[in-house]
Amino acid sequence: MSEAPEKERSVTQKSDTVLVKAAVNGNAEDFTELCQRYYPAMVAIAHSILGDRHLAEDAAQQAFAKAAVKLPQLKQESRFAGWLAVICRNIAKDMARRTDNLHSTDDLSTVAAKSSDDETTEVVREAISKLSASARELVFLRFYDGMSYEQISAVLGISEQAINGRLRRAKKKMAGYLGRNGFGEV
Amino acid sequence: MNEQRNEKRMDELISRTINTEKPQFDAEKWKQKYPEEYQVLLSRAAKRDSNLQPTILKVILKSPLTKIATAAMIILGVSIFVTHHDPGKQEQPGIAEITKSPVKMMTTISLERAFRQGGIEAIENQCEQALKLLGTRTDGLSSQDLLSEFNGS
Repeated sequence: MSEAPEKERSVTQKSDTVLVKAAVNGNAEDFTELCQRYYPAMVAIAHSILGDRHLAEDAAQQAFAKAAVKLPQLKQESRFAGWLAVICRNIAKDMARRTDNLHSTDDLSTVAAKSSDDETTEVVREAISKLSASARELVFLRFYDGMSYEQISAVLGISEQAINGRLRRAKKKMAGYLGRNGFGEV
Repeated sequence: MNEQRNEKRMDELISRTINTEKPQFDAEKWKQKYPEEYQVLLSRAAKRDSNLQPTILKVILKSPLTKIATAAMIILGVSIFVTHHDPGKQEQPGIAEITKSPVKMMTTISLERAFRQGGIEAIENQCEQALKLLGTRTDGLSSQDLLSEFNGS
Protein backbone atom coordinates (compact mmCIF):
# COMPACT_ATOMS: atom_id res chain seq x y z
CA MET A 1 0.00 0.00 0.00
CA SER A 2 1.08 3.61 0.38
CA GLU A 3 4.64 4.16 1.52
CA ALA A 4 4.14 7.87 2.00
CA PRO A 5 3.33 7.81 5.73
CA GLU A 6 6.58 5.98 6.51
CA LYS A 7 8.64 8.43 4.47
CA GLU A 8 6.87 11.30 6.18
CA ARG A 9 7.56 9.73 9.55
CA SER A 10 11.26 9.45 8.90
CA VAL A 11 11.44 13.17 8.27
CA THR A 12 9.12 14.59 10.90
CA GLN A 13 8.89 12.01 13.66
CA LYS A 14 11.35 10.86 16.25
CA SER A 15 13.01 7.50 15.72
CA ASP A 16 12.07 4.50 17.82
CA THR A 17 15.46 4.66 19.52
CA VAL A 18 14.91 8.23 20.68
CA LEU A 19 11.38 7.48 21.86
CA VAL A 20 12.40 4.30 23.67
CA LYS A 21 15.28 6.04 25.44
CA ALA A 22 12.93 8.78 26.60
CA ALA A 23 10.30 6.24 27.65
CA VAL A 24 12.88 4.30 29.65
CA ASN A 25 13.52 7.55 31.52
CA GLY A 26 9.84 7.84 32.31
CA ASN A 27 8.67 10.08 29.50
CA ALA A 28 5.02 9.06 29.20
CA GLU A 29 4.38 11.21 26.13
CA ASP A 30 7.06 9.46 24.12
CA PHE A 31 5.82 6.08 25.27
CA THR A 32 2.34 7.05 24.10
CA GLU A 33 3.80 7.98 20.72
CA LEU A 34 5.32 4.52 20.47
CA CYS A 35 1.96 3.01 21.35
CA GLN A 36 0.22 5.06 18.68
CA ARG A 37 2.87 4.12 16.16
CA TYR A 38 2.63 0.38 16.71
CA TYR A 39 -0.94 -0.09 17.87
CA PRO A 40 -2.33 -1.07 14.43
CA ALA A 41 0.51 -3.54 13.89
CA MET A 42 0.01 -5.13 17.30
CA VAL A 43 -3.74 -5.37 16.77
CA ALA A 44 -3.08 -7.02 13.39
CA ILE A 45 -0.72 -9.56 14.95
CA ALA A 46 -3.13 -10.35 17.76
CA HIS A 47 -6.05 -10.49 15.34
CA SER A 48 -4.23 -13.03 13.19
CA ILE A 49 -4.01 -15.26 16.28
CA LEU A 50 -7.28 -14.54 18.04
CA GLY A 51 -9.56 -13.97 15.07
CA ASP A 52 -11.41 -11.28 16.96
CA ARG A 53 -10.90 -7.56 16.64
CA HIS A 54 -11.91 -6.64 20.19
CA LEU A 55 -9.82 -9.34 21.78
CA ALA A 56 -6.97 -8.29 19.54
CA GLU A 57 -7.21 -4.70 20.78
CA ASP A 58 -7.20 -5.97 24.39
CA ALA A 59 -4.10 -8.04 23.67
CA ALA A 60 -2.33 -5.08 22.05
CA GLN A 61 -3.11 -2.82 25.02
CA GLN A 62 -1.92 -5.49 27.42
CA ALA A 63 1.28 -5.79 25.41
CA PHE A 64 1.89 -2.05 25.84
CA ALA A 65 1.26 -2.36 29.58
CA LYS A 66 3.82 -5.12 29.83
CA ALA A 67 6.24 -3.18 27.65
CA ALA A 68 5.89 -0.11 29.92
CA VAL A 69 7.14 -2.18 32.84
CA LYS A 70 9.77 -4.23 31.03
CA LEU A 71 11.14 -1.47 28.82
CA PRO A 72 14.42 -1.04 30.78
CA GLN A 73 15.20 -4.69 29.97
CA LEU A 74 15.26 -3.93 26.23
CA LYS A 75 18.94 -3.85 25.31
CA GLN A 76 18.68 -2.53 21.75
CA GLU A 77 16.24 0.34 21.49
CA SER A 78 16.10 0.03 17.71
CA ARG A 79 14.60 -3.45 18.12
CA PHE A 80 11.61 -2.12 20.03
CA ALA A 81 9.01 -3.07 17.40
CA GLY A 82 10.19 -6.67 17.16
CA TRP A 83 10.42 -6.96 20.93
CA LEU A 84 6.91 -5.58 21.32
CA ALA A 85 5.61 -7.96 18.65
CA VAL A 86 6.98 -10.93 20.62
CA ILE A 87 5.22 -9.70 23.76
CA CYS A 88 1.98 -9.14 21.87
CA ARG A 89 2.14 -12.55 20.16
CA ASN A 90 2.66 -14.31 23.50
CA ILE A 91 -0.20 -12.43 25.13
CA ALA A 92 -2.52 -13.22 22.22
CA LYS A 93 -1.57 -16.91 22.34
CA ASP A 94 -2.21 -16.96 26.11
CA MET A 95 -5.56 -15.29 25.58
CA ALA A 96 -6.40 -17.75 22.83
CA ARG A 97 -5.55 -20.67 25.10
CA ARG A 98 -7.60 -19.22 27.93
CA THR A 99 -10.61 -18.46 25.78
CA ASP A 100 -10.09 -21.57 23.66
CA ASN A 101 -10.22 -19.22 20.75
CA LEU A 102 -7.13 -20.18 18.80
CA HIS A 103 -7.51 -19.35 15.17
CA SER A 104 -9.60 -21.78 13.22
CA THR A 105 -11.60 -21.56 10.05
CA ASP A 106 -14.74 -20.68 11.95
CA ASP A 107 -13.03 -17.93 13.90
CA LEU A 108 -12.29 -16.12 10.72
CA SER A 109 -15.95 -15.34 10.37
CA THR A 110 -15.22 -12.33 12.57
CA VAL A 111 -12.27 -11.19 10.54
CA ALA A 112 -14.19 -9.11 8.07
CA ALA A 113 -17.33 -8.15 9.83
CA LYS A 114 -17.42 -4.94 7.89
CA SER A 115 -16.52 -6.43 4.56
CA SER A 116 -19.08 -7.38 2.00
CA ASP A 117 -20.12 -10.83 2.94
CA ASP A 118 -20.33 -12.38 -0.48
CA GLU A 119 -19.26 -15.88 -1.32
CA THR A 120 -15.81 -14.87 -2.56
CA THR A 121 -15.03 -13.09 0.68
CA GLU A 122 -16.05 -16.14 2.62
CA VAL A 123 -13.72 -18.39 0.62
CA VAL A 124 -10.88 -15.86 0.93
CA ARG A 125 -11.35 -15.95 4.71
CA GLU A 126 -11.07 -19.69 4.59
CA ALA A 127 -7.99 -19.45 2.42
CA ILE A 128 -6.37 -17.10 4.96
CA SER A 129 -7.20 -19.48 7.76
CA LYS A 130 -5.43 -22.31 5.92
CA LEU A 131 -2.15 -20.39 5.96
CA SER A 132 0.53 -21.05 8.56
CA ALA A 133 0.48 -18.78 11.62
CA SER A 134 3.48 -16.78 10.43
CA ALA A 135 2.11 -16.37 6.89
CA ARG A 136 -1.28 -15.36 8.25
CA GLU A 137 0.37 -12.80 10.54
CA LEU A 138 2.24 -11.37 7.58
CA VAL A 139 -0.92 -11.12 5.49
CA PHE A 140 -2.71 -9.36 8.34
CA LEU A 141 0.14 -6.90 8.83
CA ARG A 142 0.25 -6.11 5.14
CA PHE A 143 -3.46 -5.77 4.52
CA TYR A 144 -4.90 -4.86 7.92
CA ASP A 145 -3.49 -1.38 8.04
CA GLY A 146 -1.68 -1.21 4.72
CA MET A 147 1.70 -1.32 6.38
CA SER A 148 4.75 -0.80 4.18
CA TYR A 149 7.38 -3.51 3.78
CA GLU A 150 9.73 -1.28 5.77
CA GLN A 151 7.32 -1.11 8.70
CA ILE A 152 6.65 -4.85 8.57
CA SER A 153 10.38 -5.45 8.45
CA ALA A 154 10.83 -3.47 11.65
CA VAL A 155 8.10 -5.41 13.41
CA LEU A 156 9.04 -8.90 12.26
CA GLY A 157 12.79 -8.40 12.12
CA ILE A 158 13.14 -9.86 8.62
CA SER A 159 14.30 -8.27 5.38
CA GLU A 160 11.95 -6.64 2.91
CA GLN A 161 12.99 -9.23 0.32
CA ALA A 162 12.00 -12.01 2.70
CA ILE A 163 8.67 -10.30 3.33
CA ASN A 164 8.05 -10.02 -0.39
CA GLY A 165 8.88 -13.69 -0.93
CA ARG A 166 6.74 -14.91 1.93
CA LEU A 167 3.80 -12.75 0.86
CA ARG A 168 4.04 -14.07 -2.70
CA ARG A 169 4.06 -17.65 -1.47
CA ALA A 170 1.11 -16.98 0.84
CA LYS A 171 -0.90 -15.41 -1.96
CA LYS A 172 -0.02 -18.27 -4.29
CA LYS A 173 -1.24 -20.74 -1.70
CA MET A 174 -4.44 -18.79 -1.28
CA ALA A 175 -4.93 -18.62 -5.04
CA GLY A 176 -4.55 -22.39 -5.18
CA TYR A 177 -7.18 -22.80 -2.48
CA LEU A 178 -9.56 -20.48 -4.29
CA GLY A 179 -8.92 -22.37 -7.52
CA ARG A 180 -9.74 -25.70 -5.90
CA ASN A 181 -12.96 -24.21 -4.56
CA GLY A 182 -14.30 -23.28 -7.94
CA PHE A 183 -13.06 -19.72 -8.29
CA GLY A 184 -11.00 -20.47 -11.35
CA GLU A 185 -7.95 -18.33 -11.98
CA VAL A 186 -7.49 -15.62 -9.39
CA MET B 1 1.74 -9.91 -17.14
CA ASN B 2 -0.96 -12.44 -16.35
CA GLU B 3 0.75 -13.27 -13.07
CA GLN B 4 0.87 -9.60 -12.13
CA ARG B 5 -2.82 -9.23 -12.89
CA ASN B 6 -3.59 -12.29 -10.76
CA GLU B 7 -1.55 -10.94 -7.90
CA LYS B 8 -3.30 -7.61 -8.09
CA ARG B 9 -6.65 -9.37 -8.07
CA MET B 10 -5.56 -11.39 -5.04
CA ASP B 11 -4.48 -8.21 -3.25
CA GLU B 12 -7.90 -6.72 -3.86
CA LEU B 13 -9.64 -9.82 -2.53
CA ILE B 14 -7.52 -9.94 0.62
CA SER B 15 -7.94 -6.22 1.19
CA ARG B 16 -11.70 -6.53 0.83
CA THR B 17 -11.73 -9.43 3.26
CA ILE B 18 -9.51 -8.28 6.09
CA ASN B 19 -9.02 -4.57 5.63
CA THR B 20 -10.83 -3.03 8.53
CA GLU B 21 -11.04 0.36 10.15
CA LYS B 22 -7.61 1.47 11.35
CA PRO B 23 -7.28 0.83 15.10
CA GLN B 24 -6.62 3.99 17.09
CA PHE B 25 -4.73 3.93 20.35
CA ASP B 26 -6.58 5.79 23.10
CA ALA B 27 -3.90 6.82 25.58
CA GLU B 28 -6.31 8.05 28.24
CA LYS B 29 -8.29 4.82 28.27
CA TRP B 30 -5.08 2.83 28.38
CA LYS B 31 -3.84 4.80 31.42
CA GLN B 32 -7.14 4.13 33.18
CA LYS B 33 -7.06 0.46 32.26
CA TYR B 34 -3.46 -0.08 33.34
CA PRO B 35 -2.82 2.43 36.17
CA GLU B 36 -0.11 0.38 37.87
CA GLU B 37 1.93 -0.06 34.72
CA TYR B 38 1.53 3.64 33.93
CA GLN B 39 2.78 4.52 37.42
CA VAL B 40 5.81 2.27 36.92
CA LEU B 41 6.54 4.19 33.73
CA LEU B 42 6.23 7.56 35.50
CA SER B 43 8.26 6.43 38.50
CA ARG B 44 11.30 6.08 36.27
CA ALA B 45 11.17 9.82 35.58
CA ALA B 46 11.46 10.51 39.32
CA LYS B 47 14.38 8.12 39.61
CA ARG B 48 16.09 9.77 36.67
CA ASP B 49 15.72 13.23 38.24
CA SER B 50 17.40 12.03 41.42
CA ASN B 51 20.27 10.59 39.40
CA LEU B 52 20.74 13.61 37.15
CA GLN B 53 24.02 14.75 38.70
CA PRO B 54 26.49 12.03 37.83
CA THR B 55 29.24 11.21 40.30
CA ILE B 56 32.87 11.80 39.32
CA LEU B 57 33.35 8.04 39.26
CA LYS B 58 30.50 7.64 36.74
CA VAL B 59 32.04 10.30 34.50
CA ILE B 60 35.44 8.64 34.71
CA LEU B 61 34.09 5.19 33.96
CA LYS B 62 31.94 6.42 31.08
CA SER B 63 34.61 6.32 28.40
CA PRO B 64 38.03 4.73 27.93
CA LEU B 65 39.52 8.15 27.22
CA THR B 66 38.59 9.54 30.63
CA LYS B 67 39.84 6.33 32.24
CA ILE B 68 43.27 6.75 30.58
CA ALA B 69 43.40 10.45 31.41
CA THR B 70 42.58 9.73 35.03
CA ALA B 71 45.22 6.99 35.22
CA ALA B 72 47.80 9.38 33.71
CA MET B 73 46.88 12.06 36.26
CA ILE B 74 47.27 9.60 39.12
CA ILE B 75 50.67 8.42 37.85
CA LEU B 76 51.82 12.03 37.42
CA GLY B 77 50.62 12.96 40.89
CA VAL B 78 52.39 10.00 42.48
CA SER B 79 55.60 10.81 40.56
CA ILE B 80 55.57 14.42 41.75
CA PHE B 81 54.91 13.32 45.32
CA VAL B 82 57.77 10.83 45.26
CA THR B 83 60.16 13.38 43.70
CA HIS B 84 59.43 16.06 46.30
CA HIS B 85 59.34 13.69 49.22
CA ASP B 86 62.51 11.73 48.55
CA PRO B 87 63.26 9.78 51.74
CA GLY B 88 67.04 10.09 51.01
CA LYS B 89 66.76 13.85 51.06
CA GLN B 90 64.59 13.81 54.15
CA GLU B 91 67.31 12.00 56.03
CA GLN B 92 69.81 14.79 55.25
CA PRO B 93 70.25 17.19 58.14
CA GLY B 94 68.69 20.60 57.59
CA ILE B 95 70.56 23.88 57.78
CA ALA B 96 69.06 24.62 61.18
CA GLU B 97 70.48 21.36 62.47
CA ILE B 98 73.88 22.08 60.95
CA THR B 99 74.04 25.61 62.30
CA LYS B 100 73.69 24.34 65.82
CA SER B 101 77.21 22.93 65.71
CA PRO B 102 80.15 24.72 64.02
CA VAL B 103 81.99 21.39 64.08
CA LYS B 104 79.34 19.67 62.03
CA MET B 105 79.22 22.66 59.70
CA MET B 106 82.89 22.30 58.90
CA THR B 107 83.04 18.56 58.30
CA THR B 108 83.93 17.36 54.81
CA ILE B 109 80.51 15.82 54.29
CA SER B 110 78.73 19.02 55.34
CA LEU B 111 80.91 21.22 53.15
CA GLU B 112 80.55 18.88 50.22
CA ARG B 113 76.78 18.94 50.63
CA ALA B 114 76.85 22.75 50.77
CA PHE B 115 78.95 22.81 47.60
CA ARG B 116 76.45 20.57 45.80
CA GLN B 117 73.58 22.77 46.84
CA GLY B 118 75.02 26.18 46.16
CA GLY B 119 78.59 25.92 44.93
CA ILE B 120 81.51 27.81 46.44
CA GLU B 121 79.22 30.58 47.71
CA ALA B 122 77.35 28.10 49.84
CA ILE B 123 80.63 26.90 51.38
CA GLU B 124 81.62 30.50 52.14
CA ASN B 125 78.25 31.16 53.74
CA GLN B 126 78.50 28.02 55.80
CA CYS B 127 81.97 28.98 56.98
CA GLU B 128 80.80 32.48 57.89
CA GLN B 129 77.91 31.07 59.87
CA ALA B 130 80.25 28.72 61.67
CA LEU B 131 82.51 31.60 62.59
CA LYS B 132 79.55 33.68 63.76
CA LEU B 133 78.54 30.85 66.02
CA LEU B 134 82.00 30.72 67.44
CA GLY B 135 81.76 34.47 68.09
CA THR B 136 84.49 37.14 68.19
CA ARG B 137 87.86 36.15 69.50
CA THR B 138 90.69 38.27 70.91
CA ASP B 139 93.74 38.87 68.77
CA GLY B 140 95.89 36.96 71.19
CA LEU B 141 94.06 33.76 70.74
CA SER B 142 96.40 31.08 69.49
CA SER B 143 95.42 28.87 66.61
CA GLN B 144 95.65 25.91 68.98
CA ASP B 145 93.07 27.47 71.28
CA LEU B 146 90.93 28.31 68.30
CA LEU B 147 91.08 24.77 66.98
CA SER B 148 90.45 23.27 70.38
CA GLU B 149 87.34 25.44 70.73
CA PHE B 150 86.43 24.74 67.16
CA ASN B 151 86.60 21.04 67.75
CA GLY B 152 84.46 21.43 70.84
CA SER B 153 87.00 20.07 73.24
